[in-house]
Amino acid sequence: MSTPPYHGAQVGAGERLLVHAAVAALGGAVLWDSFSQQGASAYFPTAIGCGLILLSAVSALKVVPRRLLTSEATLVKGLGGLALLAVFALLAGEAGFLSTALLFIPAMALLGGDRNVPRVALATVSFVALAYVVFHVVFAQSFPPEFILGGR
Amino acid sequence: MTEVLSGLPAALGVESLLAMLAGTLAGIAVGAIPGLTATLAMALLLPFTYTMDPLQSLGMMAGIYNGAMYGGAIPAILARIPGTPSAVATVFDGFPLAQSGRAKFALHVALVSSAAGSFLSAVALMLLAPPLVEFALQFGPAEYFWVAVFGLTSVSLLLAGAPAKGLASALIGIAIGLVGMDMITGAERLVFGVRHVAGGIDLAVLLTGLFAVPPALAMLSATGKHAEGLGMTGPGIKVRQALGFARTWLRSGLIGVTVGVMPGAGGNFAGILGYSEEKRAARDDSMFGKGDPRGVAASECANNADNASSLIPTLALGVPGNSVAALMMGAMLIQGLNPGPALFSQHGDVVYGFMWQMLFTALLMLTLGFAGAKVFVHMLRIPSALLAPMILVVCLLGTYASTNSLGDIWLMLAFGGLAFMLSRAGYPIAPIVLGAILGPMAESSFRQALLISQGDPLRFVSSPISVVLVIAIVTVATLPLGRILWRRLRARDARRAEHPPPLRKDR
Repeated sequence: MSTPPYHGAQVGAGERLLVHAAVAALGGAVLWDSFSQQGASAYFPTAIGCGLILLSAVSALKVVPRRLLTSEATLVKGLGGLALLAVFALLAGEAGFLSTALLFIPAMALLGGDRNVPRVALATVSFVALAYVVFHVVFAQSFPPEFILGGR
Repeated sequence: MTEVLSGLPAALGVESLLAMLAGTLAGIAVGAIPGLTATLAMALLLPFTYTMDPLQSLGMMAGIYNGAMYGGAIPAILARIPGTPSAVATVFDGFPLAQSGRAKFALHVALVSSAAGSFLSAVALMLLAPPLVEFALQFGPAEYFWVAVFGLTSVSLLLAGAPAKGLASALIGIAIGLVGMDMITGAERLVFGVRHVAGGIDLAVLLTGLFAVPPALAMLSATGKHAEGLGMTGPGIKVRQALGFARTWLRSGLIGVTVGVMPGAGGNFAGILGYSEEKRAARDDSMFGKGDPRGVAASECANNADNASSLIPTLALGVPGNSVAALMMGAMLIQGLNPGPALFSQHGDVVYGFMWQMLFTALLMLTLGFAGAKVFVHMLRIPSALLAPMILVVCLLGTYASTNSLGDIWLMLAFGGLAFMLSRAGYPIAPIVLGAILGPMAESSFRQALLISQGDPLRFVSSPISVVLVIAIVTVATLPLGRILWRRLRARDARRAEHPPPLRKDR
């Protein structure tokens, strides 16, 4: 019998309050934009802006001062993953998607706790080779030039 | 019926058949990996469908949808982990069956029951969608406005644990849907100086970010160990044994179809309801929870019977009732097909062809499930920490391939980050997508109705259909209040039962 792969992460009240505040800020931005609209163009944005501020206030008032369970990633791994994705997006335009993937996949696997180096290396190279065949050779999709695979 | 048959030749074309085959294979494989769902697989595929023929794209989506619902039963039976949320009730009897050395039998029961459910659901779609389209022809802008509001409120309130968060998610979605140019005045709205979004936000970019990024990030938080399940032990199912489940399929199939049509409900609700009803209807329910195959059959049939029927309001009215239906609608919009009554008259071959694809993928699932059972079982062993980055790379490649813009990659990442943070705080994600799709529809209908009535607000309640829809919206909106009151009353009764008031002594 195996254990389920993931038991969920804990989310503190502070983080939940911060998200409610961000939702209210989003509502404020929508409301602010609606002031520059005229006539019926402003109806929906105004209603949405007010609604978001009101609903986030209701959610904030109901925040309980204890940690709650979520099925999402932990904050560290989630934000770490998003940061790596941002680095990928920055490099992909310069070095190409698949060349960047050669670094990105092992880095993400490491972040996920996979320390089996030969397996990670083999899976990365196999995946990139397969993606190259599918996207570049079979479907001839146009991607930014590759640093390694496509030559510059 | 003639119209329904008109879609058959297109659905039986070679390209359509290959697309259904690939989609069903991918769907079963995805469903078999814990953490991956039909929604994620469809969101990953969506950006690649821009260059496909409509029936190729929809056939692949249909295969993924049906296949993933069955695939979720594999880890549920072998490892006690529901591969998809819909397979929760399959665990109750599936895993005990596998433990007792009848894993192969349990998997086969799940497979034939999933196929039966999908088949019934596709037939329901063919029978119920055309009459609903006839009815929808009576709708004007005011009625469409209320239909959109009903779809949004019901999904937001039924999907979220907290109604305020569900509604806020829907409003965020509407705001995203309004970004870009106002369709009547041409003025820019909610652009905030970002020229890249002045033309609006690409639906595929939004869907990929919302539905593919957070689950992939969650896979990074897995323990690092892959799930190891029990082997494919024991004999398989015989035809006579399979036919013995006919009554269960009929009962659970009807439950699944009914749940599917309701907005906000989903396969997980259908599976649990089908299981409970089967247990209630059984003369001898002593084996339920200990390895009764009827439990597996009921759960799997009901969760698959939800599939095609959930597309009835999507196809007929253009109102998706859940996230998968929203993705399916996204795939249609990408192809320039606008769901609703006009779709049936202008692109009958595509819409009826798609209904046949939903039916054929049920049969394909049966064939592929029997033939590839041993292969699909191995999907359980793929380490999630290694799979997550690969999914994310496909997300990025797909987003770039669909729009050829690095700006959309950043947009997709922003939506992924937004969905991750909102999910952690308890905001449901499906209403965001529904808001992005239904919000602009609600706004255009609202403004059209105002223009027609020259600003008279009574126009919105001038027809019986509008009045019925308003009553339905008020009913759905007051449901959470009713639930709170009911819980309080029950808690008060429980307190009284524990601490009864002292009896008065008569003098």
